Amino acid sequence: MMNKLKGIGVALILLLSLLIPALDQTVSAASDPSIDQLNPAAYDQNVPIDTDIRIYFNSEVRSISPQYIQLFVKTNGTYYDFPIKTIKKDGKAIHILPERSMEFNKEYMVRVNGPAVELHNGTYNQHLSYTFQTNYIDFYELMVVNEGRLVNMLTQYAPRQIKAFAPKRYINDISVIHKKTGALTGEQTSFNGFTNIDINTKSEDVANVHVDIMKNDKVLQKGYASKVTGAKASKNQFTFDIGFSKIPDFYDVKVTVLNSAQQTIDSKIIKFAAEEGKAISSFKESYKYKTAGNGYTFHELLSKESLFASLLSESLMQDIKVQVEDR
Amino acid sequence: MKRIIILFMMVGFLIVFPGILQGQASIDEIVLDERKIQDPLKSWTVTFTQPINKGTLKKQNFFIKDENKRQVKAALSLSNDERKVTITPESPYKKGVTYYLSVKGNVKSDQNEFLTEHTILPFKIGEASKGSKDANGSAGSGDKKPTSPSENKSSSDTNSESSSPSKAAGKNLVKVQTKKHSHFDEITVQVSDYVTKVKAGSHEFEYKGNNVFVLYQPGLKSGEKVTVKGYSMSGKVLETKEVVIP
Repeated sequence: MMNKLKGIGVALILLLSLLIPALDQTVSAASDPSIDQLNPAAYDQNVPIDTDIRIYFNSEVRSISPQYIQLFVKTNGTYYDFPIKTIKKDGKAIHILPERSMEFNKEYMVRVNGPAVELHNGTYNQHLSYTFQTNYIDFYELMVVNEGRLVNMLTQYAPRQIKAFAPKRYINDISVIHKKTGALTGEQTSFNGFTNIDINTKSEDVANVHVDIMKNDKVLQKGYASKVTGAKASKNQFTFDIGFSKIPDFYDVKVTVLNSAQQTIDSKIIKFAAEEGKAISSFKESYKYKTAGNGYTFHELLSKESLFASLLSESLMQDIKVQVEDR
Repeated sequence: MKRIIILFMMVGFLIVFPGILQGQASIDEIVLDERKIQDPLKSWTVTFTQPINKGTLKKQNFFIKDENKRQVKAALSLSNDERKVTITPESPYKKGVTYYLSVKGNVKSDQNEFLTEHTILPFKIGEASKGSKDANGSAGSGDKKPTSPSENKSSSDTNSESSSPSKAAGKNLVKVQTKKHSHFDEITVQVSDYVTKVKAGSHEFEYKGNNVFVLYQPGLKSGEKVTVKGYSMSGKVLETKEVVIP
């Protein structure tokens, strides 16, 4: 009987010796605030620009001290502050929302410094700094030039992880009024033809509009359109106009919209053919987009044919950018 | 008596072989749609598919008549490559009068092959039709449907070389090509100057410049037929073509 009791005692001691360190570890893990996961992951290369920046902790977030959390964007080799609009708590995660959307082909750095997050299990007070990049893959290259690359990509990523971004569009409509060379009525003296082009754009981001009159790929005439101001100006949109003389009756109009940094943010080519028998021809083309500025996973595009068709018809394929989301 | 017999034989011969005096008169006559022009001194250029026999460059074969069948005085000229004949009136056309440009089937190629038809193009001064290239009054290049001493005796080339949109069937959608990609098909259309919009059903082609339109269309099946339409600036369909997806 005594032997039996001794045996039970030994077994109990052994069991306790096994359990106690495990319990101790659990307590230790719960008491040490740490990071479980980063999204996007550190050093990711093709992070979608609309990705949520989240940091997942090992415990519920109680409060945030935003002054210890910063976001930077690398420009010309230097990190500049990329303003944060707000930082939200979301269960065990914090969600960093920048003031403006991230840009393509940039490197971003997230830095947490000091007692930034109060967790259920204590304060996270460690230095954390990591970067990720928003490099993109050219949709045109994937779909037309190098389809093998798309095949490779689909072996690495699921269609839901691959995202295509349609460019924002800024041109609302283009109107052309073209007067042929010659008299309007029999009594008039013949005079040169002239052409007026109006371009209506969104007001956001738009600084300048450049117009090229082209024929057979050659620029015949060009110039910057001037912004219509005063009473004729419209709300939430800009109107630019430009005049040309002595241009032929058949030509291409290339409209390029530039931002304040003189970067092209939208462009459009329309074809003009003066109408037979009319001294003055006018033409207006208006644009409405479903997909402009939006991102769609390949899964969405492949499962919704009409969406895929809209994306392809509304944007130049060269302007569609592809990025991937890590899981 | 001998003279009477010879005369009788000649008349009989003509009755048996009437075509001997008719020449090419028994061949078809094609009358094209009337054109409206603005230039009262408009010249017309007829383009052939091969050089013509210079001996057939005659006023009997190329002429303009008014509605009272009075011939308009006109000069003929032949291009260096001998494929283009230009008919230039010496006096202005009158308003309200219909004129007829005729190219007779007697015209021969340099291989001595006849045209298989007479061609007549009615025209008058007036408000230009959409199909008239010279409606803005410019003169020089003609827009008459070309007739041609063709390579085959039995046919003349009825394809218009005119840049007039409504008359130039087959010339507004100049070239339609398709290319298959893994997730969609690419349809490229080369158009004439007159086409400002191209559609396949409700899908509008993107204009790439230099008369080239492109559509990237997912969901098309091999062997599927796609109807491509070219539109003028006023929205009129200038030409329709069907392409088969490879």
